[in-house]
Amino acid sequence: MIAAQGGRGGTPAGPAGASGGRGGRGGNAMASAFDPHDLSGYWELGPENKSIPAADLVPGVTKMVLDKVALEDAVSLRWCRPLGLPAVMDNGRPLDIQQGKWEILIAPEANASPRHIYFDRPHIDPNIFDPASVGDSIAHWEGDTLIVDTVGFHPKDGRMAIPGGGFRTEKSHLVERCKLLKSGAVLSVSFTWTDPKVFRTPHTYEFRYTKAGPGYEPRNGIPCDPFDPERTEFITRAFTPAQKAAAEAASIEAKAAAAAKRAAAKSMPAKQAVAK
Amino acid sequence: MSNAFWPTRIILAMSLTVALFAQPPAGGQGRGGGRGQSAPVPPSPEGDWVRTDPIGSGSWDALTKTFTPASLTPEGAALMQSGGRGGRGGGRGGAGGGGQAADTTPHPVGVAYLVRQNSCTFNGGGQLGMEYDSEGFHMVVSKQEALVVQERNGSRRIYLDGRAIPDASVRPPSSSGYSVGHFEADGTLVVETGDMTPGTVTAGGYRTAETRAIQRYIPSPDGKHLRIVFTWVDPKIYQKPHTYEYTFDRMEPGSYALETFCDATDPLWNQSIVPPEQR
Repeated sequence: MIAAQGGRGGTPAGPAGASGGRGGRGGNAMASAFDPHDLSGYWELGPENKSIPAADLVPGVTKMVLDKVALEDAVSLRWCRPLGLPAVMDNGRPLDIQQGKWEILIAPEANASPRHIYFDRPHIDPNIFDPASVGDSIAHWEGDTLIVDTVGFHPKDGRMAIPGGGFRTEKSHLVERCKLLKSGAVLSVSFTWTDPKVFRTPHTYEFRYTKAGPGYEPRNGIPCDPFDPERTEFITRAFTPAQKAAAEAASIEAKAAAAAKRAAAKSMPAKQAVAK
Repeated sequence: MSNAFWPTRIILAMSLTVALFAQPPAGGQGRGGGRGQSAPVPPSPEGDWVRTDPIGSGSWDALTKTFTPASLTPEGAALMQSGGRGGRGGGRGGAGGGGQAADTTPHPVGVAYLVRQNSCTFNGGGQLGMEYDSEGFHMVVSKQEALVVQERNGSRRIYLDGRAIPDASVRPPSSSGYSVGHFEADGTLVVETGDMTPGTVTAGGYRTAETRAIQRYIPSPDGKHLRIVFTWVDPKIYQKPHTYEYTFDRMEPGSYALETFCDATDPLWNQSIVPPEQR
């Protein structure tokens, strides 16, 4: 956890309230003025721009544990649950990252919650914070590197798998080091996960995002309908039998049926229940 | 949204927000954290806002009934007649939902009635509506745009770089349309929006892709309050510009955006009452 940096705002040289002088879009980073403390832009992640070593997992993370996480992620995929961290940072579409006075806001073009990264404050008291798939993120600048510190992950919401191996838990701690490269045309984000129940040593990987051109405008995301039987057949085709069973059992109808069965059993005279 | 669940969820979310605010300062966190209680706030719509309810009704419809109804042209009235069932165009976008389930048979104790089906379908748009409901809304102002989100997925952007709203034929209309804006000297953000999907507008209005909405985000001089004044302009639909406004309070320093995580497998997203034990 990091202490808030007193007096260091979101944009040291950025907009101040309702100021004039809001210049061009800055989309063409090579041609416009480059502010190393402003990460705003639309950022794309190409498949060739990821450096992901294998994670060093603790012995307790057995194949059985990993299979269980994979099963839960399969259920999330099947039911179009929002992505959460870390998946939202590699969702196949550009990230709209805008930096303001008090926070950086990341709006994905995907089925995922936005990320709020707050400046100048400590983490919310965990006794108060409502855990989220994207956690509670705070940030400060160290030179030209933005350090983003995230805790407060939801125990179940969002995809849990972490690139390189391992998975997220409610106790995970993520530190992202963000730095503009190539005169602002590239954004490097180095992710470091620590979680004593998952990683033997901190697990670090890096993505390098490319700034989208000046004509880029965010588009609608790709729809996901969990009630489309054709999609369901398609997406579960590669599931293991256990994953298929878990996905089916997750439906509200299955849960309602199970609840009705339990209720019926409860109201059944004891003699019959025993006989059954 | 035609279901009864959303308001419950939103009230719950707001309750959590209230609960957060109710916590005493703890090590510089909570109410006293972040920007600090005494830090001056500039008069700007940037930041975290929650809608107020000046009439104290607790109901969106009751609040909007206090607005002056739209004066429609005959063509506007005809559009309302033919398209008014298409849902409130000014309202929320985000995750889609299905219709009502025919869940009318008596349920045993502990087995919830399902009131909604096919919830949490991601419609791809994920765009916010033109009006902010009782979830908080959060605006970040960068050099190129004002980016707005609420607690669910979806976002709205207001371009600040001086571009014009493109011709409606360039892209498909969307729930929050295409917005451009500029700041005035007192901190007011003036937003012009076009290219919206057809639908009804609050207080008896209607809109099409050609309709223009002007929103003035007017901060109070101390930066703690915000008015959003809507003016809908379309000579085909309105006899005169259709105007109403909402008011907002800036969230306390140290507050944070809650997450509305829509999960199609969560019965809470779909159920109504759970029959209790009868005594």
